Amino acid sequence: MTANEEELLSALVDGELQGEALDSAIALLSTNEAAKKRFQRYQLTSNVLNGHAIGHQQQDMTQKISAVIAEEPAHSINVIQTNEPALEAPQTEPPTAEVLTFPERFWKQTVGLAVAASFGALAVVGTMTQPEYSVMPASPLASLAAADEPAQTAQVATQMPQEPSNRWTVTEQEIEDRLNVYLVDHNEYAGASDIFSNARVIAYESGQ
Amino acid sequence: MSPASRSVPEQGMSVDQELVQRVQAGDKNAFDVLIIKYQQRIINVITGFVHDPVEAQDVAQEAFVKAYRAIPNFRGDSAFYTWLYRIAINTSKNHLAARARRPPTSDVDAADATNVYDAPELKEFETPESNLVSDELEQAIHQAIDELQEDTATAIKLREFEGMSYEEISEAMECPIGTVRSRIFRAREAIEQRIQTVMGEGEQP
Repeated sequence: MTANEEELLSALVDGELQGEALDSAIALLSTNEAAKKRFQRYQLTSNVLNGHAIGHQQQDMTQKISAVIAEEPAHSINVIQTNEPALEAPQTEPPTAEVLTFPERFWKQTVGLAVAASFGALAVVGTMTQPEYSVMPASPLASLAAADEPAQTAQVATQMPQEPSNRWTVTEQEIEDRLNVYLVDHNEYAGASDIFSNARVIAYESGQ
Repeated sequence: MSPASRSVPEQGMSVDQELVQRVQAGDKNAFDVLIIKYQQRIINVITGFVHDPVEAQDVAQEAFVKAYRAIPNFRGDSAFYTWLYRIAINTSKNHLAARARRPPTSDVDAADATNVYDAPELKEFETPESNLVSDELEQAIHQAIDELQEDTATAIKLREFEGMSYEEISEAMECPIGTVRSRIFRAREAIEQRIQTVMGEGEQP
């Protein structure tokens, strides 16, 4: 083994070889047993100086492992990169349009938003097509009255009271009364039920 | 070899990456270099789990074979050693789990049994004999470095203790990279002469 070859192995220990020099070192180690032992001792020295050799045992596992690997198929991924500088790359490639590519996550989020927006739009349209008031008349008489005066339902409106309060005021007395009945029934039912015995009584006006 | 003809590594491309790419392309000899480079460290890691040195070598061998089989999937997101280290840890744990399912090959004293698997990852397999050899080896290496010429000693110290690249050392010592490489080689040769006595090999180059 020449001094140059030994120096090559020293540089390999330091990770300072690439390209053809690395090829030469690999070829040397695979064909020269003395070179292999020398490289192992260089590596051992480096391990000792870096604290990686705990309880020195000079081992050579390459023979055992190589024997196992010899029966394995060789990998064939073509990932060797050329060492040629980028400037020498062929310049005759046709110009390509710049296309912005979005990640897959972007499209998933977009589709999700579109679906959510569709459901939202359906909900809004459905609400708008419902009758403004779905309070059923309490009696046939009231029903008849409502049928006689359909325009009045349009006049029923809620408005915020002038005084600061937490409740809405319904201008039509009949609906106001009916709502009160519903509310009282609800509170009684809630109070009578064991399930809702601890439920808070609902009232839309303080003190009621 | 003249300094001009020496290979200068590309920035951002480590020798491990190059070796991995060669293995991925079918060069099995490149994997031998990785084995030699990391076998000691991997065995140290495994002996933290598997205390028996012979058993630890078997587990290390299994870990390297697993690494070879999986290396087409290694994309270089992490350093090769980090990846190999994880494989070694997993192989060690699998080995311990498999061993626990097997009946013991030897009797274990009841008083010692509770301490056998007490945080094995925190222990390292060391014997007084191995420590003595390791200490002697380390002492011989440091003596060899102390006897080197100043420039040569500085180069090997910057490389081994500071982890500097040849380029960084050349800037620090204001000399060509080829000179750095020669100085480090001369230092290793001097160390080589010294440690042969400790290792009892007496092998001649």
